[in-house]
Amino acid sequence: MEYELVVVAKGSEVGEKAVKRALEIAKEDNIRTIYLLFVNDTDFFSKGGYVRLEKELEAGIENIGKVIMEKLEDVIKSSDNQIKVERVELKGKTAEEILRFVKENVVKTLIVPKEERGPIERSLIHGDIEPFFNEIKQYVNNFIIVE
Amino acid sequence: MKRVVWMFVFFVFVLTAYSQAATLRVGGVIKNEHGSAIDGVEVVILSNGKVLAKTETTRNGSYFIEIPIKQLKPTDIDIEFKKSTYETIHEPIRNILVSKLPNGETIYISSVNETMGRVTTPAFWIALIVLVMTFALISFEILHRTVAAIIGAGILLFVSYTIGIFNENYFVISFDEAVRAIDFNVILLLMGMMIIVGVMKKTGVFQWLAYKSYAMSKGNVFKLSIILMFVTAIVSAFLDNVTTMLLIAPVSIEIALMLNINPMSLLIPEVIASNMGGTATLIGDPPNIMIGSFAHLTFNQFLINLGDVIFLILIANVFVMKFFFGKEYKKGKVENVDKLLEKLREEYKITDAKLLKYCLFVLTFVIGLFVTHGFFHMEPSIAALVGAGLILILSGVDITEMMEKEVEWTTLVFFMMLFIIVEGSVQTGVIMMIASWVKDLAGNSLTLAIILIIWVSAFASAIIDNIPFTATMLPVVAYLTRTIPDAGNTLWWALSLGACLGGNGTLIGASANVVTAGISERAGYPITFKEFLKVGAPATIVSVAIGMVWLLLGG
Repeated sequence: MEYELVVVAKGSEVGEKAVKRALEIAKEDNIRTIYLLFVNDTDFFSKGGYVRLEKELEAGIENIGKVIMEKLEDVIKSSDNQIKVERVELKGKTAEEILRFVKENVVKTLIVPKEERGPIERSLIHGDIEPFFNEIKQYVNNFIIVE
Repeated sequence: MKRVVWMFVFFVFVLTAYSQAATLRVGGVIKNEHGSAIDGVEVVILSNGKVLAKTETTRNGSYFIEIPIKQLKPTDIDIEFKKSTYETIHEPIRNILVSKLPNGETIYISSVNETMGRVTTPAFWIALIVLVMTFALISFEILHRTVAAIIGAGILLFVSYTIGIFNENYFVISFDEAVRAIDFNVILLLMGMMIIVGVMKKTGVFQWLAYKSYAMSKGNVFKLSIILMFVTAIVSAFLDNVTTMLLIAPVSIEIALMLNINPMSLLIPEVIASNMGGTATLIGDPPNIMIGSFAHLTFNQFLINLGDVIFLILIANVFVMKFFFGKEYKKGKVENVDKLLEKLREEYKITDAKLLKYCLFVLTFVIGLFVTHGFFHMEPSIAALVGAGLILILSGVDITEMMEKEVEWTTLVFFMMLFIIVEGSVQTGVIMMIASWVKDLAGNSLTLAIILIIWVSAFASAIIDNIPFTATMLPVVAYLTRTIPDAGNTLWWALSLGACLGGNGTLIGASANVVTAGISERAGYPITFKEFLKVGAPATIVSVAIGMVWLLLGG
């Protein structure tokens, strides 16, 4: 499948900035659909102790994803009501799933919001996309990081 | 005639032999320098270097030997006490009482009680290295904590049964001692509660509670934060903190996103309250389960001694959270409260009302048993097991599924291995050394001991896993409780408050913190180590200070 403009959906201010950047690109290139990509990633907490709650955790993060995408959709619609918003939901490890997505599909522009994270939380909480940036770039025409 | 003579000779021989028969009975108790009984001490009775009899001391350090000593002077007999990592004692048996039985038999009785001094053997260093290595592997998450603990316990037993067989100075722990060290009260209590929670979570009640908190707050974010803190604390007092946060945090994030506030302003107060709530009861936090089982403290003792101070700490922390997140709470706005409520009601409703009724009945029954377990002299694990059995029957859930998915075997194995590692340190004198250090610092002052235990535990728990820390501290606090005048159970409460509340100090201090940060990150709001520290450290200092003052005032 071909995706012209994809934004990785995050609920934070950086997430909103990423969507606004997508709106600018959509206007410049006359793109009519923005795809919001959310990864339901439960891969964290290696100490053990959440495996038995994975189903509940997955359901909880799915609901969070819905709210984030609704919020971002509102941002897009309030700026340009004509732009269509489509949702893409993936399940698995964030970086690996995004990489698989860009490998299996044709993605012209991918916008990734990047939050500030230290080494301790990175090693504990995972979900880091940064180490995969170079690999993702190979499969995307235009790779934009919003900080 | 010849036959009669022979019979006479035989009779005289038996009579003579009988009249000369004597028995030596020796018994006593062997203790270490801390006054604790030593089990497994080899007790040998010798005469001119020849072994006459052998036995071992029992778990309470006692031994008893009875041997016939015909043709031996009892004063020529020696006794020897031997155990690896202790100095061998070899001495003649003194203070012998002589008595004659009605049948003419002589009885020699002596009581030999000894205090054995420690020697630092290679086993001591092996146990110490394994203990430190396991702490490091777990704390820095180099290995999964269960793998780290299995490796640690495995090394201790392997060294004992290879090098230790040829040279007893390398013998750390016997297999029997290792098995005996596992506290099955802790293991079964954890398992029982995992089953109860496993069935209960199917009802959706925890998420429903978070939705209800929002409904009660009527859109006031500060009020919502307070309600969520108390709901989380109460749930955590009976369930484990990780489960509580995993189920409540996603709902809180959803609410925060819809209120346009940073989810951190709800999540950090919640997780801090969760760690506090767990401190209030015997079953709320693993360190309390271990303390309760080791020190034979009841559910009621925990609730009575810690419940009120935790309530005070929670109130104080409401203000701490207001200080840090007050501005964020003011930012919170939602255009249509009813619409949001409707959405949350739809998403987080009770999924199985009938099952919830069964669960609440069983939970009430189990809590009833916890409250009365001291009266029945019943271990709390029995209450949890009865509850687990009942809930399995009533809910009709698939037992295989429950055992495979709901019981965290990795956690249970982690506890078992940890008990073995700590016992290795007990057997070789590592723990005794730590206890002596603490005792030297505290002297006979209960005040100093409280301050030392509560702050050291809090600081350590903020950095390392509080479960291995508590396991190590149990024998240390037991020694201090025994030797410091009027200590009562105060030092146990100091350990509990320090070890549980210390987890709030840093992001890595408690498993629930990491889980919460993980869920928040997935929503695009990573909680960094620095951000958590900024709120967690002051909250911990305030909480531990209140706890300390409370204990110093007599709790």
